[in-house]
Amino acid sequence: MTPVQFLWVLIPAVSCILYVTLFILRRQDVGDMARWFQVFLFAAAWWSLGSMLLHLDLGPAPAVWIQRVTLVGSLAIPLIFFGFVIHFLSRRNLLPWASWGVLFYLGVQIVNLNGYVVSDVQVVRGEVFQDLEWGVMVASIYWSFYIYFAAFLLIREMTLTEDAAFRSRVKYNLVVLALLWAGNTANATALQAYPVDLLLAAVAALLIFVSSSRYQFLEVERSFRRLLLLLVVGVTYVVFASLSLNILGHIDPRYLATVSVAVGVLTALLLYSYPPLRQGLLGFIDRVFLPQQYDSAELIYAISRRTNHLLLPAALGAQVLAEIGRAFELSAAAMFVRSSAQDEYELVAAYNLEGEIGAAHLRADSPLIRELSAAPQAMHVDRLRELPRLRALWISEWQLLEALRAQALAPILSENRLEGFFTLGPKLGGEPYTRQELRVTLPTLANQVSIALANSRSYAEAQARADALAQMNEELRRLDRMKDELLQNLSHELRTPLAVLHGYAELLQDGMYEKVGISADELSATIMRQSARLGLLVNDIVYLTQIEHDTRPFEPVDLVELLEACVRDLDLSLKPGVEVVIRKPEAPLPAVWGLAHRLYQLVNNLLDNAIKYSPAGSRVQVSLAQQGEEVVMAVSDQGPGIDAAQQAQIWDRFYRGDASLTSDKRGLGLGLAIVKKVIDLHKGWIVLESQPGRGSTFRFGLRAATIDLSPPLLEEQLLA
Amino acid sequence: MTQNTPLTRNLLLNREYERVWQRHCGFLDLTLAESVAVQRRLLEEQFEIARKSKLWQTMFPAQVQELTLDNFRQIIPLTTYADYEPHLAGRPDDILGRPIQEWARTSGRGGRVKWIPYTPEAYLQLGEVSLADAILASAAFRGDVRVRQDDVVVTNLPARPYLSGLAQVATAEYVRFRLIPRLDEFEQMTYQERNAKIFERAMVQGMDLLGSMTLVLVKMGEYFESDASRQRKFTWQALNPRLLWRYIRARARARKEGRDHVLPRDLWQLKGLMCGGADTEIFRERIRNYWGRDPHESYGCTEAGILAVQAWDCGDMTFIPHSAFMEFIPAQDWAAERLQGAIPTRTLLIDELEVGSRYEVVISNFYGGPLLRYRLHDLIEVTAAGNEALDIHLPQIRFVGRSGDFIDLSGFAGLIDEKQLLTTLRDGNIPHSDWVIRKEILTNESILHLYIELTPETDLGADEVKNRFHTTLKGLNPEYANIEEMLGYIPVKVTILPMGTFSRYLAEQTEKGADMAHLKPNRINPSREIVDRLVHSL
Repeated sequence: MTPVQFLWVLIPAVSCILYVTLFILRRQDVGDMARWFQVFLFAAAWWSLGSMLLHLDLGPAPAVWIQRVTLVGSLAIPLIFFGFVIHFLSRRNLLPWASWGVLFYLGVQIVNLNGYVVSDVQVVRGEVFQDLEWGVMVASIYWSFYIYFAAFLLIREMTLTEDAAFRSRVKYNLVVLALLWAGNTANATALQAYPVDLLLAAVAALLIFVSSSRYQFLEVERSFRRLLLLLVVGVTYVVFASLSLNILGHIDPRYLATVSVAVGVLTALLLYSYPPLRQGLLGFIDRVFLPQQYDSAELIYAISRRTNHLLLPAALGAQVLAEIGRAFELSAAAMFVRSSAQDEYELVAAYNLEGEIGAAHLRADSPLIRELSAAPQAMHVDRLRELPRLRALWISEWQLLEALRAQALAPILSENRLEGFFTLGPKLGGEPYTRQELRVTLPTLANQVSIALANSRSYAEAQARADALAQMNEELRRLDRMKDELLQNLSHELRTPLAVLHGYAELLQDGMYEKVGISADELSATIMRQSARLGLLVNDIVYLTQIEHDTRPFEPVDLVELLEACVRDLDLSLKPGVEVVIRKPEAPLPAVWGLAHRLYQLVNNLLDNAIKYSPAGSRVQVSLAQQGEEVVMAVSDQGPGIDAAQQAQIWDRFYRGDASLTSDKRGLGLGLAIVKKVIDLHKGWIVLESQPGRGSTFRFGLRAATIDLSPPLLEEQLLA
Repeated sequence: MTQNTPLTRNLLLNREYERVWQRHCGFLDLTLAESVAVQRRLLEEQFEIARKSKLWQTMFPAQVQELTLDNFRQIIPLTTYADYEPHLAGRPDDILGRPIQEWARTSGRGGRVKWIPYTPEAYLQLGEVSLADAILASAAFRGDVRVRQDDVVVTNLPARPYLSGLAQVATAEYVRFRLIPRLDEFEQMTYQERNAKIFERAMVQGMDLLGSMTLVLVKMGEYFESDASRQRKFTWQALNPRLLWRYIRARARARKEGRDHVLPRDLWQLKGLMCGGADTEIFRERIRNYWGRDPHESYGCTEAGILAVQAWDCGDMTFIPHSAFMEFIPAQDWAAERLQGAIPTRTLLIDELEVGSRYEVVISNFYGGPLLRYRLHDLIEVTAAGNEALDIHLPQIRFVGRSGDFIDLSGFAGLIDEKQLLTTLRDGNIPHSDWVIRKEILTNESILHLYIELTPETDLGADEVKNRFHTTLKGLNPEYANIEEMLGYIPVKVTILPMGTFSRYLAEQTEKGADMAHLKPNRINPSREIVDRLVHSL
């Protein structure tokens, strides 16, 4: 027997053994698909056994009958595979086609067994010569119809399905079908490349078995790697056998078979018991057959370089997402970081989502956050949908994930606390995230980012503290300046009346006042006036501190009456030519809730200021009106006005504005501070409308006393 | 969960059954604390959504902005449909804080038809839980998913806008079952047409899952057992090769078991059998004998979808935490209301239930639904704190009955439910076609008046039926056991109805075009008018 003739027998024999082995090792929880696969194994084993007997030509039956019986098995293959595909695609509505196929098959067998496919077979030194009849056309039609129908269904499903994992499985099935088609075509054409068809059918069966044994039925990536590893064993065996035949020439087939099997088994044992060799081979397979589109190590390096720099979270997120997005070819990505308030996670950076997503956040008590906190690796969003605890996720939270086009989530953990997480959108190429990416690559990237985030957070906190310190410093400097100004003003304001008092007291003491032309009345009046002025100044200072602690109950206060009293009491002699005009509506205004003497002070201070800064001959207008549940008063003057820069500060204590305008004006700069305090005490509001050169209007509102409430409830009402 | 959620068909195609199980039946793995956490969080979301709705702003104007998880049971009273009817009866589109996907209606058996809007999320949730029911009905152990993408599902339950029809449509969002009848046909057919056609088609196409009313299954089984099934007329359809092959195999199976008649289980090897009806427990063994599988039950209502399902052992049911927020009125309070008119005020939560006690269920919708603290008037009984054998750590319940399914003798014997009456008739060996029972006053005495149509072969008189009924009920109901001594008389009267009474009633109602709820009379306390019709049927 020549080596080629030997292979004609060996391959079908090994195939037959393989089919039997696969059948024995089959999964016990048999579904319909697996059941069809078992029938496939049976038919293929029948075919292999028949071929082996035919080529061995051992008898007992004539070769032509062995060939016809062999065709019973081989011609069943396309129909069985068609049934397998129907169940794989869950298209049992197509089972009637398989039912009709059985009838077709039976018809073809009737033709076959009556000798109208193969009329005669001669076996000469192991080589088979056969005479074919018209029945081979019928068999071919039957064979082509079911193989091409199966191919059509698979291709159609591949184009229709959106699920990347299922598409991978369909492709796998197409590879299996292609092997069957190629084998049969090679044998049926002039190539007559027997036993290529048997060999490819065996490979097809092995492919299906290998993937099914991992439960993930027919997944390309998983099964392919393992199959290639198994093929290494096969290749070793073939190489050994060929070398042996070449070197040793003629060799007893039994001896060759025994040693070859031993070599094959040893190779397999070595592979599976020596992990470095296995890992090395798998690494080689990955590099050659399953290259990733990116280099994980390079990506991790790029990320770690970015995270080396101290950056605020937003900038860090933008840079990291840019790297990941480019490497993975993502359609979208985003990064969320725990807020400093600890109660939510904020979106700090987005990739390819600009304009689609504004501010977004997730509450810290969200079940998604809890799940991510406990997750040691990245996960598919689809997996999240399946978790019963995630049923509690709100519609808005799911919608946020959809708006982010999130397909995978990678937690950023630090000391078992969730510092943030990435949302990763679909890859532009449509590939799914691999297990390697979810379990290793993304968690490693996230770990890098968590360190950077911790640093960034410390940096941000330090920055914030520095900013706060700087602000405090500035405030202290400002207060210091104000203190200096106050002391200056205070000394000036106090010194002036004190000087007058001292001077007049000296005159009194010396009895010289008449000699300088001052009467006793005038002397006492001046002393009284200056004392009073001194008293007022001291009172203002004391007043300001007392307001905050005033807890007396409010009463209804008539603002109109109060205003009129104020105007009466004003010392208009201090500013001759300034007219005070009151405007009020005809309908009586309601009273306001408040403390009368405080409100008097408020009105008095505003009027005093207005008059003080009004030029002679000008008018100070006071208007009153009811607006809803409030009474609003406005005091307008035609003075120099206050520029915008100073308007924010006018409420500050001791602030006196532009010195060029106020240096000749009396006062400590407490009047408006007192006004603001009184407004705050009454839960009212006050605004200033002023422009330089156009005078100023102070407008304030207080709650009208239209609500009939007892005092405690009143406070609640006012505080609401 | 959003409208982009359904992935189950992909998972089934990929044979990822673990994930299918986790997705649909994973709630069985939750602890009680996790279950409560899910309920609370979804209720919080419901407040956020629904406080903006016109409905709540109109119904609870003073409370709606203040609603929190901690105060809502104090500030919102228990509600009934009468509170919602003015707002929902016209089926306005903009009444909720979310868009409305569908409107579902009740049967009207309780006296009024109720219309309930379903938001898209509630609709999807209904589909998800319906599929869970199918998975559990066909499972043999935890994680066992036997449903497949193209399983043949036969159902004779009512079409939309009833809940069963809505559930079927919603399930189709997840899995592409082959339905008999098809969905488009299903909604055009009447109930009778459906009943007539579905089993004929199933003879050709097969049947993997069956959803039906219990009584229909029993009647089918009886029909197969009877001689009538062997006297069917020949039709050309009988020559269908698949039908023939199915029948031949069925005959072979029947022969193997020594039977000369074919049963449904010989014709179809069902993966799962989903049933509904208060009498399912009574007919369990017969259904198993006829159909080859235990009937699998779930508890639900139009107002909230499916609330609880049996696990794969077809034993007691487990509440589904993401169906609705559940509160429970203790049975004493429910009974006090029924007997004395005292309106219940207190409710318990799911982690406060006591084993062995009965409660009325109160629900609040999730996903933007309309109902808040809504009384279902259904009684359930807590049978266990969990199921150790199945490793389920949630309260186990069984459905006792609806409010209207109870009858009382003015408090002397507590409340007797329909199940108890069915058991009484069965255990008392009173073969019957159908029955109704009324509480009546006869010469100042309260009695239970049983109107019963016996089977043709039964030869019992009214007195014999009365004795058997009374004796058996005494054995089943401890409070009723002393009734004779307490009252001084037997408070039962029996009227034997003429043969065919209930069939004639059904035919008359069908001719009048009555809806499904009114094709048959209520068994408990039907109106005087209905009883007169039955009595004077011939």
